[in-house]
Amino acid sequence: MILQVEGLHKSFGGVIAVKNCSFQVEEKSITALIGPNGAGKTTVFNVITGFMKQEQGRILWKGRDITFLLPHQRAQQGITRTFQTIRLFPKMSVMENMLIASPNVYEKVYHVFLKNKKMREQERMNREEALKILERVGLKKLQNEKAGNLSYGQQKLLEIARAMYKEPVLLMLDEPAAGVNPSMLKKIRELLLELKKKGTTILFIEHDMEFVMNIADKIIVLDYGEEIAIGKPGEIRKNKRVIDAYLGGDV
Amino acid sequence: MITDYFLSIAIMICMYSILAVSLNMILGFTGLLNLGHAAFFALGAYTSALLSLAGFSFWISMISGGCVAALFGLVIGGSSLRLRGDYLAIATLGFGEIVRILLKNGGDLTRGALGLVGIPRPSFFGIVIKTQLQYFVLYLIIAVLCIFLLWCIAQSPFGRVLRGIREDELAVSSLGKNVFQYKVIAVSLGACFAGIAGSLFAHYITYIEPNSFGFMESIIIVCMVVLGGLGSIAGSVLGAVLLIIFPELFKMVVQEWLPVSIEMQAGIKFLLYGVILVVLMLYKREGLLGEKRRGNHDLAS
Repeated sequence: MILQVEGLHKSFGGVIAVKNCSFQVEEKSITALIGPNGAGKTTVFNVITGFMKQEQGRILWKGRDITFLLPHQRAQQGITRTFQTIRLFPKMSVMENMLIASPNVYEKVYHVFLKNKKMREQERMNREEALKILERVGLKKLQNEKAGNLSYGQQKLLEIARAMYKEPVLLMLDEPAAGVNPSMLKKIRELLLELKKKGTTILFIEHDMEFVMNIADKIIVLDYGEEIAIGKPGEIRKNKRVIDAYLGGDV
Repeated sequence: MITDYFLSIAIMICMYSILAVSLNMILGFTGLLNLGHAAFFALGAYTSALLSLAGFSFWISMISGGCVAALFGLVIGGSSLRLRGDYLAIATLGFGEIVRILLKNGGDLTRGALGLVGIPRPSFFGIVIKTQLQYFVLYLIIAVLCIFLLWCIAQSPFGRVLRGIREDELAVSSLGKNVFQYKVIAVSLGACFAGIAGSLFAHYITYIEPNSFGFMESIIIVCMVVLGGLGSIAGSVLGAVLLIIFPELFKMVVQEWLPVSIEMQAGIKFLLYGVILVVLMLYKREGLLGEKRRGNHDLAS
């Protein structure tokens, strides 16, 4: 069990966003988090990645409590994420967007004045590695383009590519398929399955049921901040509460 | 005499270029609205002046001025950089005023509103810098060096992360970078170079007083950076050139054609500053040499 969420509780003023939510994510699996709008899915993401503090409950990462770690420290532990509203560096090139994600030991300010061979070597390797990933997602040709000039789908891909770059242990994607055309959707699906094969654990939020049912090993369903079902796609599809709350009659 | 006049303007441009580029590090690259940059300028000037008056050499005074300003940058950054946007602007504005008021009430050390007089001129290897031309050559070399260093920082992987912070701070922290630490270092670096500029100022004017480093001074530096273009080093230099030359040109024109009182002149000058900035914001928001805002990002987000 790589990630354990235990008794999570979070409210905004009088609105309870997440209520006593507990679930587990197995290593090297794909887990989907689904539920109606306002069910608290993104809040759960924000709490896991440290961007929000929960009121109760804790997050265990590889069995260790990481509740008190800051977002960047959690990222350093191998938890990276994408955002529901794309968060790229729009005025920087595609390549620069990737390079910021590189774990660069020569990024301290004093290295500005100590340019040595090792440092240049690392920068070169980072570029090469970034190119490989950009090639994999089909953005290699656009490496010098400003990220803000890419199409919506390309920006989504770039954000995933950037999150992949550090070879995360857990990759968290907030609605990777939203607003993306069918061929791009297929690309993203293949990418996620390939990552899983390579040993990356994936946790994602998505509304596209076909996409979810196709790739998820396990589905967690939230409604009004409470989890109402956890199970394999086949089980979720038949679950009465899930159908009432979210799926509707004929899925 | 007339060349001396032009040289004195060129010397001011050298000092303000350093100031503008150093603020660009904070405001243009990292995206932190710092309205108290004149405070770092003042700290550098006072530290350097006091050390020189105590008998230390020009170089030691100058470096110390930079270091003291950088140290204050660390302290101010450390205490206020958890704030964002408007709040940070207010905090830095407050810091700027605090420094000015402290200098004004510094007792025997800073001599209050009287200021420090008789600051020794720069000298090294037995040469005392006296003429405007000598000053210009020395300050030009120092300015080019400072701006080159800041340019190196901007081009490095470190500078890349700073630009990332300006674009999207949350995204940078989601990629495992300690945003707070980067911001503090950026402010401290900017402060250091502002301190060096302060030192140059003190050794050129040879007289400093707290009111030379007020809020308006900070605003003018911000104007230089915005006019030239956020994130563009050449732009900051251009901004400094234009905003130093403009008042001089204005003075000439007014003396020739508009016989009005001194107060009126100052009023008209600031009015024109305002008009220039408004026109710029309306028609060229990225500044004269700034990075173009292309694409539809503004619409999309």
